[in-house]
Amino acid sequence: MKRIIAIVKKEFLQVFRNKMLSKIIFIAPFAQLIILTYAANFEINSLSIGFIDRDNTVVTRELKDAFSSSNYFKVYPVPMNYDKALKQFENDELDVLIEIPNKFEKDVINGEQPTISISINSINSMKAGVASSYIGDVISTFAQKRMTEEMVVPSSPQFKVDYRDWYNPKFDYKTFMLSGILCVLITIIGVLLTSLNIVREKEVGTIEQLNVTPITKMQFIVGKLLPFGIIGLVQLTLGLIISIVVFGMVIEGSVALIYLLVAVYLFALLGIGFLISTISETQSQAMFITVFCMFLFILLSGLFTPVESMPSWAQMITKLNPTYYIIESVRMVIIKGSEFASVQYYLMILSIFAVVTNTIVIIKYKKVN
Amino acid sequence: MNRLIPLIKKEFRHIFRDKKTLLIVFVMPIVLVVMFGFAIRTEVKDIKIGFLDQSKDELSIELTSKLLSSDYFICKRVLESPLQIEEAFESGEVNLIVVFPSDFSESFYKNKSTSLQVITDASNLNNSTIYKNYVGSIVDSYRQEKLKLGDREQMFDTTVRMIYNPEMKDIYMFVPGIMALVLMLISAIMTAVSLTKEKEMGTFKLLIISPLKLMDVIVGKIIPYLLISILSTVVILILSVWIFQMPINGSYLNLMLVCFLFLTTALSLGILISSVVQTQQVAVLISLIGLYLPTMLLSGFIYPIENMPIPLQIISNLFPAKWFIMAIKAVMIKGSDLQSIWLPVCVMLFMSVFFIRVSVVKYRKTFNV
Repeated sequence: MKRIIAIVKKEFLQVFRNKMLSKIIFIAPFAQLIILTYAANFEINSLSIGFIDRDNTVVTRELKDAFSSSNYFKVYPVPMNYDKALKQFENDELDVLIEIPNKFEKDVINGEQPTISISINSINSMKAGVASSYIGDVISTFAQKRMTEEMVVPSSPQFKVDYRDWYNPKFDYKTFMLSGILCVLITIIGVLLTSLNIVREKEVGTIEQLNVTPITKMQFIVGKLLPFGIIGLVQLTLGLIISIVVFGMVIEGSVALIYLLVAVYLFALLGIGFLISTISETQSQAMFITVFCMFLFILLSGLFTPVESMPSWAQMITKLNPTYYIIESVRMVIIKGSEFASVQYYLMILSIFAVVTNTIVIIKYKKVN
Repeated sequence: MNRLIPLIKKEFRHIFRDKKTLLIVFVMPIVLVVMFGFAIRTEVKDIKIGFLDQSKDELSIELTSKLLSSDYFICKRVLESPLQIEEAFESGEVNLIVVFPSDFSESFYKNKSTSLQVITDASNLNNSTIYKNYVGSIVDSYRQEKLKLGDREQMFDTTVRMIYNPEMKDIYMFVPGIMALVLMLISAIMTAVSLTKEKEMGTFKLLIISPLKLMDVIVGKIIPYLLISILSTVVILILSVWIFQMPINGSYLNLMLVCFLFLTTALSLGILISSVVQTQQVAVLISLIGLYLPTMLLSGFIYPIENMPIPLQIISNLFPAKWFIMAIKAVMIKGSDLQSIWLPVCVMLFMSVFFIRVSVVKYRKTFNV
């Protein structure tokens, strides 16, 4: 026990002695948590729309008003020439261009069904999809309203869809992203601190000094794991406090369950870090393996794009990705208030990760060279 | 220049001597871009849907089969009572539930208007937005079908034209984004680490006391990495055209200029990082923590910048990736000429000069030269 404490002390000393390192661990992530949470938002609410109105009558003005009074569009002035107006797409100042033909009002009154042409900047396909459905909404509501007002034609059939968002009724992106970003930050720091740890001692030569001490393999590993596990849990605590104080996040489930999940996750994560460290010969190798893992873990975690949209081979990798399990389960506890029974599957898989990686580390790490 | 050549040779020897590192530095960006190009998508298929049909009449059955005959949904559960909804979500059996009220058809035939309810599991907001869009568009096309059979005359027609990306491929936003993320991180980490290593090992002092100027040392250090990353960028571009059918509508010269400038910016950012840190570990930590999430979230890669709060829109200007994504989309997809991309080009140019200037000053202070 004493030996383990000695190693733990040494590791803490090494972290805190380096002012830069402790700043990165305890300040940078939380600055990011606060800033980046505001950045992640799929709700699209400021599409800039331009009109080439060749008719300029009461009807067309009303149509334009219908767009500008909806919350999604802001009207942007464009030249009357279609090709010139289209140029505005190129510098991304315009998202939608609507061209209303000559004699529009007259044709509408005569029942000749004039055609409005709509051009959408679709470089970002998702945004274009949303824009097109908003436009459809505005136009059909407008047409509906005018037609019932004038009683020209009986009202058209309607299917009203009433959307309910369960578990996050206010559709709050911040709560959704907070837990995910927090897990990602803990992941990056946890893996990096450990993956460079042993290999650094190898490169600098201090590993030999450790090897000649009476410490056993197990004590060595535990002594190395503990400090970084503690750092991870401290980060979790700070992150949760910030989420609650700054963003007013409400934790529906039990806090103890979150800690249990994260503790097991950290155990698995640090195991992966040490594994990288033991198999690498130089710090730069360890580093690049870590960077590769970070890309895999985070991009395939389902935080930014849905796992369901990935091809099956990528979904398989996701099944082997501990970050996916922690983000899902922590989110379940925070947002849905899931109980132990609902997350035990995730907990079990994380435990398997933890046991497997750490066992390999113990086998791989040879005290005597 | 003559003085630089031995240094460049030395650096290349370092890189080539360590086959693993070379493999990582050159091959990893390519593998990552191709891999995530396939994996990161937003189109979801086989969404688990549940139905609670309280009317079981002609219209509800027809609409149900319409929803299921699209590629998007698979029916996982037919519910009998509203009480089962909660349990179906809790168990993760379904992602969304469509509820038809008991008077679904009746109200439609009587009032021409009827409503249905769509309940989503909004604990995953990304997904629930996508699901709602899918249901909405299917219900809408069903409505229009009913409309053609019915009696209504339309007030006017619309034609929709998707500019730049008529097939609405989401790859157009993901390939530039992934390129930016991968190239930014790997280039910055590469230079930061190689310079910090010299510092850590003490060999940097040897370089300083040689007849080389400080500027020569720095430039000589990054040229080999610049060459390697240009090579891997070219491979990435070829693959993205070949595998992902990305267009190159602009000139190759402009494309290369944009990539070259971005790589230079990323590498000089690496130099800047190396000038403020002492150990390789801290260098990687700063690069990963400081660049990973901000590059993903604040560059317009996944989340449109226009949607963010104003302070974040201003902050986003500080990240080179934003400018790169802007410029490369313009050149590849829109086919813009140099005139339309002068702003991102100038910003990246300015950033690289600025980063190098600051690091030279920093290095001067550290080494008293």
